[in-house]
Amino acid sequence: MSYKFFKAVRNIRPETELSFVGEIETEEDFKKINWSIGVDENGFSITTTTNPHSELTWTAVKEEMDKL
Amino acid sequence: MAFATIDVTKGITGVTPVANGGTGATSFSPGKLLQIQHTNYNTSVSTSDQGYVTTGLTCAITPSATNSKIFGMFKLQARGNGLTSSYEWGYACKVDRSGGASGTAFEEKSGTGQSYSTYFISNASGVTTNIAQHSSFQFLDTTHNTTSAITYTVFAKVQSGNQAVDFQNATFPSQFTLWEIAA
Repeated sequence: MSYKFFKAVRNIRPETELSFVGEIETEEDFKKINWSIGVDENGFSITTTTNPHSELTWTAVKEEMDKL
Repeated sequence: MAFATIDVTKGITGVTPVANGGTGATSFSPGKLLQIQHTNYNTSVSTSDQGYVTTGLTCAITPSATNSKIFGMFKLQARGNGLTSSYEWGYACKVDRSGGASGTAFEEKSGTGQSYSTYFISNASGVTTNIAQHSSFQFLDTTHNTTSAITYTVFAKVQSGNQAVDFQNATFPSQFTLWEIAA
């Protein structure tokens, strides 16, 4: 299932860096995604749960997932 | 007449020969393995992040001596999702300490570029490929210098934002074992 999610995200916005626990199946899951906004001096990702990509709405991603 | 108890601190000396069921040893040397801690973790964590993020796999230990060694072994279950026509992709991992000690206890290779030792490869370029595998890693921590609890956490990063890796995919577990060895 995560494959479909990643594929849908990539189809809408390639090279999007993110991580999450479990599966993304609902809008509530989508809100828990850690979006990468950079890397610190130790190589750790700097993340936020505030989606920085306006084109990657849950509606758009879900619609793309349903096509796959 | 049978003795109910024997005071071994008095009147018992010498060596019991092997032929008589003894060890033949004149002294006892205690073992070096002080303790083992083990974690079995099966919550799925997915990433397409080129910076280190947690895999969720951790193991904690409270050293009994500041100069002991901590030998760590962990096995990561991972499924690679090849989302593009690229035919090889991978991840790299590191282990950081928190609690009684901090800093990196293990890193495959720092930096970028050729730092991804665990690869997923498809010969059929252009075909969507998903491959699951188990990879094992080991490290020796000789610098913890504490008797406070230390948590070792496994972090990973992927090669490209266009590729993804699912750790503990479909709840297949990863494992982490810590051995404390006396100095």
